[in-house]
Amino acid sequence: MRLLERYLGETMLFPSKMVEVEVLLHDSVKYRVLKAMQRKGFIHITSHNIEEIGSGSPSKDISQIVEFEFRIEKLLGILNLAKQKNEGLRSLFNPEPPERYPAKDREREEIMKDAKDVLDEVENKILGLYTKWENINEAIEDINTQKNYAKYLLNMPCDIGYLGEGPYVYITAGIVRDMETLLNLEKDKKIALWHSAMGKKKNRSYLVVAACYIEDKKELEAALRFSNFTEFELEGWKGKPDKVIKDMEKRVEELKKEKEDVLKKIEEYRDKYYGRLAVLKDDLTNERIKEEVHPKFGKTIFTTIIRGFIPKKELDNAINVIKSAGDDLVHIEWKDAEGDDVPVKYNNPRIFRPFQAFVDMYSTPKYGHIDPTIIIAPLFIAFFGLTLGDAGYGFIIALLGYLLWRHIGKYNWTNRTLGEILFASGISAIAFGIVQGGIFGPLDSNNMLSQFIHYQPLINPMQDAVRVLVIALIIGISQISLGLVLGAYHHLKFKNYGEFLTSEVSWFLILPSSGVVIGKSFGWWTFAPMTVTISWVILTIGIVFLSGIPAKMIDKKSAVNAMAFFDITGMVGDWLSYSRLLALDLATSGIALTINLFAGIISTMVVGAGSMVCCMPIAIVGIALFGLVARKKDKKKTGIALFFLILGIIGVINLQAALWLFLAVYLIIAHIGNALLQSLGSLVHSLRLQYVEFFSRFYEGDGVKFEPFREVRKNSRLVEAGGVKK
Amino acid sequence: MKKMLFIVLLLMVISGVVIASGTALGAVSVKEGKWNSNEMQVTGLENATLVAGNNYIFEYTTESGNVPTNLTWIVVNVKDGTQSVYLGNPIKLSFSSSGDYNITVMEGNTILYGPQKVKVHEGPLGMALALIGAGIAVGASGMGAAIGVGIAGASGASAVAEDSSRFKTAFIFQAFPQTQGIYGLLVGILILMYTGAFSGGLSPSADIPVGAGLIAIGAGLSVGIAGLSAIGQGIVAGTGIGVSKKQGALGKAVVFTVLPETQAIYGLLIAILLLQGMSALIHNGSAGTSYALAMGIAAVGVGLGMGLSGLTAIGQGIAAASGSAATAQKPKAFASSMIFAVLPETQSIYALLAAIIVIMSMGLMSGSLPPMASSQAMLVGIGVIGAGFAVGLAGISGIGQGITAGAGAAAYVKNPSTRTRSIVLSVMSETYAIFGLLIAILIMLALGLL
Repeated sequence: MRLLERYLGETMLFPSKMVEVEVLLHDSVKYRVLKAMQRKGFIHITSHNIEEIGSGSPSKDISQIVEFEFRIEKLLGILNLAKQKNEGLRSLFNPEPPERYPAKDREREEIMKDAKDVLDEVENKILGLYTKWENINEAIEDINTQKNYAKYLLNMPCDIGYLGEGPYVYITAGIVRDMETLLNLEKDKKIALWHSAMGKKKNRSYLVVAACYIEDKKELEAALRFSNFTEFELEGWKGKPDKVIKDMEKRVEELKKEKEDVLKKIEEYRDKYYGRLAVLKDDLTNERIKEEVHPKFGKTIFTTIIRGFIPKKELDNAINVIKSAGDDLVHIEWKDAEGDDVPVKYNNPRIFRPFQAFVDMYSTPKYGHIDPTIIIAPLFIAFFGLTLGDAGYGFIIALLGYLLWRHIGKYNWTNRTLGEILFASGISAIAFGIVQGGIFGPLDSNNMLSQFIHYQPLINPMQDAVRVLVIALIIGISQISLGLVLGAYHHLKFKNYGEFLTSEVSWFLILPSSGVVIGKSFGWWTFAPMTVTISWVILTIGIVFLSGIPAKMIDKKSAVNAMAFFDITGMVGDWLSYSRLLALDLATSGIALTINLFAGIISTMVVGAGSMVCCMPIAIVGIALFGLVARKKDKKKTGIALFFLILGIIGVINLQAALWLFLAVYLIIAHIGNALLQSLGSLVHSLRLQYVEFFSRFYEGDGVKFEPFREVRKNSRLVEAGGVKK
Repeated sequence: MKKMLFIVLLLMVISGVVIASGTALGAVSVKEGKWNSNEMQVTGLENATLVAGNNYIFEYTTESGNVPTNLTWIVVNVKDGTQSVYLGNPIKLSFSSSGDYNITVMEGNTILYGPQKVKVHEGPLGMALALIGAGIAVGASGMGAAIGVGIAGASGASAVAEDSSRFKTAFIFQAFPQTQGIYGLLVGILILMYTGAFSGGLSPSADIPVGAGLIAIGAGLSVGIAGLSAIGQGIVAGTGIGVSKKQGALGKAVVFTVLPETQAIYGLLIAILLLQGMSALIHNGSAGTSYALAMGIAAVGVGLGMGLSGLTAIGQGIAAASGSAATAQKPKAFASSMIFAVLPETQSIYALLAAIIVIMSMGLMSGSLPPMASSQAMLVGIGVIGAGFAVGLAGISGIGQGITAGAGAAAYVKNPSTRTRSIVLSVMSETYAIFGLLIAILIMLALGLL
């Protein structure tokens, strides 16, 4: 075991080795040491564990830091209004790198002074501009609402300037749901009314202009309230509605120009101050982090104790950095880390790193346990390829992955990781597709590609399902056995011998012996009678081990396994679960086959129908034209209608060409749809086999992730690469 | 059993009238229909469409129109070379299996007629049954998919009403319960393809053995009823739409949503394996009608078992939904919630196990039965239906298990120490599934399948 440990311990199968460090320092050097630690980012700080002393608390600076940070963040948000944004597909595929401004190493006093200076200098001005900008927007919105009201009044023979309360008359305009009360008032000659109905049966409403003497105003208002009145508030505008609308448009133009001016001013500020503010934001954030970590420290009157974990590889360097920052006023102690709160720093080569996300999603591994990233990465890729099993679909997924990885997600970790995973998985699907003879469906007579590409595939899952099933089950039992081996390693390493006997030794006995017994009874293999007898004996011993009784004998603490029977059914279940590899493989190629089959049916149907079909293009043109006329505004619907129009016109000229066009569009849409749906299935089922069937054999999660205490530089980058000044 | 089949086949026969035309050496006319009835249609042997299992009267007429009575008829099955001899004229004849036959008519040692090669077809019943299978596959799975998609859609609609940008998420989750419908469609299409329904149709020359038709029904039941798992998946998908609002919960919610699809995948797997057998059977012709029939009936049993046990997905859906919500609340509960959510899958694995045993020992994938007396084969086939019911219906216990497991996942969030005890409580419902499996295994032992 020791030997194995020495052999495997430093490989990528395990998270990085950690050292537990306690730093005792005098408060006079605390800030400098913290700064050095933060700059280098090697330590994961945890709470101190000395019961006799109290915990630290942030200094009084923190409220000022938080306040400045908040104010500067707001200014940055405002300045970003003037940021030039590229939109459209091109910018999606070629995203701009995030802006980062050069920052210098500064002491806290300098940072605070700079923050105060810059806020005094520009804060009010920028906030003023922002208020202006907001007001203009509001005004434009108001005018747009008013414009809609004015549009209602276009047919009214009335000057909008007359609306409202005059010395003798009160005139108002708006929409009511119900006319009855108003009509009654008109009958009583209390008001003058002009109205017209709008909308259909259920949504009927009425446009009204009502006028009355000033003494009847209250009565009119009551009647309007009763009729569910929405008033057109058009104060300040004069003239006939058409003139008012023109005035309004003019005003909006003016306002937009004003807005541009304001934005230009904001842009000027942005050019001048953005870099400084961005750097300040990062500096202040880092100061805040240094303060916020204090409650984890132990504190005496003049000293502070910092407890944390450092990767063993970086220990020497870390000690040097801390010592040089703290002069002789620090004392460092360290030992090899162990226990439940040791953070886990993954130790995987670059190409496996995207797959850490899968392990992390399940649960971070425990320190000292196996990190299965490099095991599941190739298995996942292979399972994905096998279950998708189509070179055409693989190409689509690989292309999508490449775009996500190299273009769309260039500066976005999530997209990039997903892109890398999809790219690798897509390539694997291409490989498996070629092996299985599937390119956009099996290469049979239904597949149009079969005219250009034909070869004898290595294995055809549609005709040779049983062979693929056997392969899937062999993969299954291999992965489960690997899981058992890893579980055994864990149990031996942590000297949990009882669990080792019950969970692993039992299966190492049961699996091969039951293979012999079952294989014999089904007549797959022949064995000597002696072998079968021995197998029965081993099988029985294995089941006894599974019951947990032998474990109880060597280790009083371990429990008898009352669920042994369920363990057996569970094992069978886990194993048979791998048959999904075959089923999903067949589903993909089967659906692709169906898509191709329909294409064939459509083409034979059209060819067979002959003269009847000639009417079709004309009908399609008609429907498309109607669609274009009826749905003027919606871009998508217009696009669809245009497609049918073109299709119809081509059909009138040449039926065969239209058929090919239609089939091409149908095949592209259907195959892309199937590719996306099936790869979603492949992705999640491949992952499920790792989580449910594999991880359950050995994996213990609940680890703490290594989160180093380090500088945050989202908007800036440090140019002075020197250490901390003394 | 055989007689019943004959009656069924007789009812299905559609006949046409063709007057026999004599050959130089005389001719054999074929009368088809009930042996004792007068309503016989007469066809020349060369033009007759013969169907396995139907009753025929063969009559030899000489050139001059005489009907000699003292004749020997030799009927040879070309495929296996078995030879049957009939005496007299006219004779009553029925072919037990389809394929090519050579018929020779002799008087003493002189050959009067033949040997004439005739083709015996399977008749249209097999095709009709296969079409029922395709219907069940698409219909039942479509029903499940629609209910599941509906449940997810309702949740999606409310999420979109809250925040219209969540349409994309709702759309993805709604796609999961749709797959069951697609699996059903796939099996339906494959049945139509393997039986040649696209080109042939319901003619007696379709040559689909009745057994193959029954296998298609079994495949349809397997993928169709298992397609009801979409209901369970819809429940998780609905929860998934809700919880994925939370930062970082999307990926885990997707994993949970995919769990109750397992049952549908097993249903599809068994359906495809059965269809392999069907296509082999069609290819071989019905090697002895009762063998093929036995296989077909067994396939119905397999399909029922696999399909019904797929309903356990509703239980798994409930457990997974609960797990998904628990994980969203407390990300560390993911691993435990997964354990709870996969518990109710066991039932369908029992059914899968039983199905694979039957398929292998009945030769359902190769389309050839192991040596067995024909009457026994039929009984074995019928017995398998019993085993199918045992493992399938008992498998529905998964719904109960799912409810307990769901509560267990929720309890774990409140108090992690309840985990082991909750698992024990959840496993209790599985007892009934084990009873079902036990009875199914005893039945299979009794039938000599194990």
